[in-house]
Amino acid sequence: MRVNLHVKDRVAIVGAGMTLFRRRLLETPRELAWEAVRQALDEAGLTLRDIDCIVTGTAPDAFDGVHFNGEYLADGAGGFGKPVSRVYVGGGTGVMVPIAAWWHAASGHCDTVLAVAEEKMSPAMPHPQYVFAYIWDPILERPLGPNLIWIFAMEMRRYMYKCGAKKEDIALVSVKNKGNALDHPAAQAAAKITVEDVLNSELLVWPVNRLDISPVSDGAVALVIAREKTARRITDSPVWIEGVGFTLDNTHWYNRELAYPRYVQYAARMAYRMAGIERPWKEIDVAEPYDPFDYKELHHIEGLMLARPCEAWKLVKEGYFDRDGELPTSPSGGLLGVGNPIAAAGLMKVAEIFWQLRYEAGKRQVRKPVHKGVAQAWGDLMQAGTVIVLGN
Amino acid sequence: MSWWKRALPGDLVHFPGSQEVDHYLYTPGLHGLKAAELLKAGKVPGMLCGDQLILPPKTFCPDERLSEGEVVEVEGPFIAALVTVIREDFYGRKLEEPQVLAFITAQGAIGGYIGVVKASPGDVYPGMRVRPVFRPEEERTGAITDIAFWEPVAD
Amino acid sequence: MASEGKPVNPPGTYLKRQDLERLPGIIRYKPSARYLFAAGQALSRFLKGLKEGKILGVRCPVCGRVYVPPRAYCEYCHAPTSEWVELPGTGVVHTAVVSYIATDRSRMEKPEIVGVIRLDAPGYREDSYEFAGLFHKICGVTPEQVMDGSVIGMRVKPRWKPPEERTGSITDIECFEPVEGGEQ
Ligand SMILES: [Zn+2]
Repeated sequence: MRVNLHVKDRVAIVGAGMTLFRRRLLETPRELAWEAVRQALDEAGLTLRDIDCIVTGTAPDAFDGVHFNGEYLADGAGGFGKPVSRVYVGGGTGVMVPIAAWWHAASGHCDTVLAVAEEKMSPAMPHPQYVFAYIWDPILERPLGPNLIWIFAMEMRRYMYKCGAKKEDIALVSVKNKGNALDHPAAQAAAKITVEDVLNSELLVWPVNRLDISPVSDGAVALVIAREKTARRITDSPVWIEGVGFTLDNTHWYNRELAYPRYVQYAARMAYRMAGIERPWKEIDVAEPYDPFDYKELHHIEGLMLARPCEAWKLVKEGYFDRDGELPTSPSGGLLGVGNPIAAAGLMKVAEIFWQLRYEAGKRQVRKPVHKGVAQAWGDLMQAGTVIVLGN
Repeated sequence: MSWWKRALPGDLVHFPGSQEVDHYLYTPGLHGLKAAELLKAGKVPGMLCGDQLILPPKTFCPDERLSEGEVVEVEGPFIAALVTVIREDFYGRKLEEPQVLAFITAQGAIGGYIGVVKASPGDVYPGMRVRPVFRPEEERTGAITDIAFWEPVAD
Repeated sequence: MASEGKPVNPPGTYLKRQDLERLPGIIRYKPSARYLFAAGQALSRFLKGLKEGKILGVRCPVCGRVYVPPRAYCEYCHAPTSEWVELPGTGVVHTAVVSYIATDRSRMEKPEIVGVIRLDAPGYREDSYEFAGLFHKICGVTPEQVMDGSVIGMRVKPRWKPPEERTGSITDIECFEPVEGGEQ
């Protein structure tokens, strides 16, 4: 590994676990965290006694409806009597959690770290979309009565205009990801659908139809992360965290070009530099770009420099990003297929790269041999990028 | 600071707003559901982690395996471990009748419940024995408020 | 190579919507959180400008960037912004969409067109990544025009409310409408 950064120790992922992703689960938020942590610890063959530190992540407290949700979750995440911290960058949180877990371990401060992300969106009534209203600026935006989907529609429209993509080109991403999710045991929205199904689904905010969007979900995911010496004791096939990157832009999303996510590119450059990757489009074998909306996957593929700006939609048409394609993206089924419990969805993507690099993804395993993978999440008002590069 | 940033407080604009959610529905959770069923049956729920009784039930035990606990009925005896007397409401208005609030635990248990004790302030003390009085069956919902109040038990 | 894929038997207990309402121990809670948001020095002045029918920006004394909406400091230089600039208000549509749903996801009776306006402001190149701009409603165009792409790049100007109805709010601008004969 060619790390261009001084760290005390290499850090690896040695176990992963997750709950089902569903529209509505009986479990409380802390029980979801508990279920995911138990799975991850079991997979690594560890108990809480072996864990030094805990990093948690959940998106706005307003979804779960519990203030200080991080503290509330802590015991379910295994955090009683241990150093616990919570990180938050909106939708980018899911990938920020293992990034923070990485620095806990790479610094030498903790030998083993649990990275836990949870989201329960179902408590908010009448619909969680209502809760999203309060992410808008209270003075300049809320008086206009916005719905969350507006901002995505505006970005998608700009991408279509700038790149010459049509709705039916973008819908292919939804078809691909929901299809991939058919092989994911936790998936909520797996389906064999066609481009016509997407175009004929309920029109919400043109150009966005119902099937262009990931569903509302409850769920949790956990990873066990360890320093090199410990990781090698735990497993013969650790998956190394080779690069991490994260960037935040400002909240003035209407003051910048919406067709290209600059903040994702900055985060990706940071992660690739650390991982010694110079040509990501050649060196990355499998990717999990964040796909809360189908166009977002294309946006993020370009931000991650896995395709040139405005080229991703053309490559999707060629099958380039299919599971048996040149550069498989979202082999898990992504947020569109597996589901979107916000923070947990980002961490699910990291778990998928972990399983892919261990050849443990079963029917989801991509056809080509894999050495390096990248997972990415995006968040807030078109402003946060979080990227993690893994290698086996 | 540049010259224009000297506006008087009266020149500054404030916008009212609120949290946009109509309401929340909180699920009781796995063991919470079992606890809710006990409450509906007029029983106080607890959790056994090995031999240790824990109140209220929490699904998982504070051990290194985060193992699942067993939801059980707690028969008591119940003790008001901490008591406090409330004389004013949220807005600082004097209550007509002072109210006794207690942290109630069971013998040998970790944790407990908060509840109202129906007794006059002069008659309560930490460590006193109490027992639950449930609402009528048709009013119970499985929430902790199914216990209408606690009453002292003569020693 | 594992034949059975991970995760194996992910846990979780699904509830139907109707099960939720009937669940023992379900707690219904209605929060009541009210706020008073301070606009701050820069935005307060901007809002007063709107009341007078003006769109105001501020310029950074160090790098010369013009910010609309105005900020009290430059994001790049972290210097206090110093000079107010009145913009003509005209601009071009950066992106536009047709909404059929309201904030709470209920269907709207009449669809609404909203978008981002790239305002004419000094110091920005025509296709720069950053620009002075606002998020607002767009009127005087049809949903079909939004869908066929003819709205993006269209020259627009603010349609102001009558002075007596203005309150010092972003809604003092009713919407942005096409500049007559200015379509490009
Ligand atoms: Zn500046």
